[in-house]
Amino acid sequence: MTDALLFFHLLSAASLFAALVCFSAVALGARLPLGVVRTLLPFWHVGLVGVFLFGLALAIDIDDYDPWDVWVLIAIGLWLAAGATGDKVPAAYKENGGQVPIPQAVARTHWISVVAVLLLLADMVWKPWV
Amino acid sequence: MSVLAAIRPNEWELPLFIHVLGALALIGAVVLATAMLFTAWRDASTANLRLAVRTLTLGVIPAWVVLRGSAEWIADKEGWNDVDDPPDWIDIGYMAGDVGFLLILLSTLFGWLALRKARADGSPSGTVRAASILIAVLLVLNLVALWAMTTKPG
Repeated sequence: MTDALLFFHLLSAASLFAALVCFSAVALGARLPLGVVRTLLPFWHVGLVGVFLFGLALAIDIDDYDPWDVWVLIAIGLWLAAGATGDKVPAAYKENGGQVPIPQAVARTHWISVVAVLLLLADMVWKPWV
Repeated sequence: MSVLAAIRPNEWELPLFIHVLGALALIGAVVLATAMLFTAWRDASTANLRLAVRTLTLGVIPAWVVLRGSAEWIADKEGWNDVDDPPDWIDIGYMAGDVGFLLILLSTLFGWLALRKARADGSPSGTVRAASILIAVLLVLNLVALWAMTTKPG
């Protein structure tokens, strides 16, 4: 059970990264086809929901951890930050009609989501205050 | 798994972080390269093919180097390099990594050949199809490796 939950947790993270790589390319000025960016937007949403649900299930399933552990609460905070900032690039790109560059403010917001996701991964590995 | 996570020594954490980051970045870059190659195959666009080749050279190959280098680092830390008969999940990981690199090289080569032809006469050659199929196989291989690393068969 734990192994299956971990697999789906990481599969969700992979989905999140697929979208993040695509949006980062656009933020860096790559003129990707709008269809590709649109196709990868659901990867972001599915990944975001998946990492949360399977992560919470893992925290409940594994005896050594609880959902109210500090590292889990930090993860939820970072997840909220990533969720609030992560899908701004596709929206701006669509509004621009698939043209680059996207507005600077949107690009800056995107890099906040990248940092939040990287910190989330670091939190998962180091698990502070366990 | 939970016991292993709880007693994991501190010095394993940096290589593990880099390994997982490399693996996720590799899958992310491979998904984008797959989407770009299939788009270039479908619409015969030189611009899309150029972006696909750039994704392979600037995204997929560096991510593979990070993944493979950190795999060796963590295998050394965990002592797997000294084991004569490692478990299946280690073998699957190495196989996916090494066969995967061959697929990346071939896909990049075919993509580059298609791009060269497209620059010469305006339409990409049939090698874009080969590049698309190889990179799609790589994506499947990476997902199998992800399954093996998390469920640890054998």
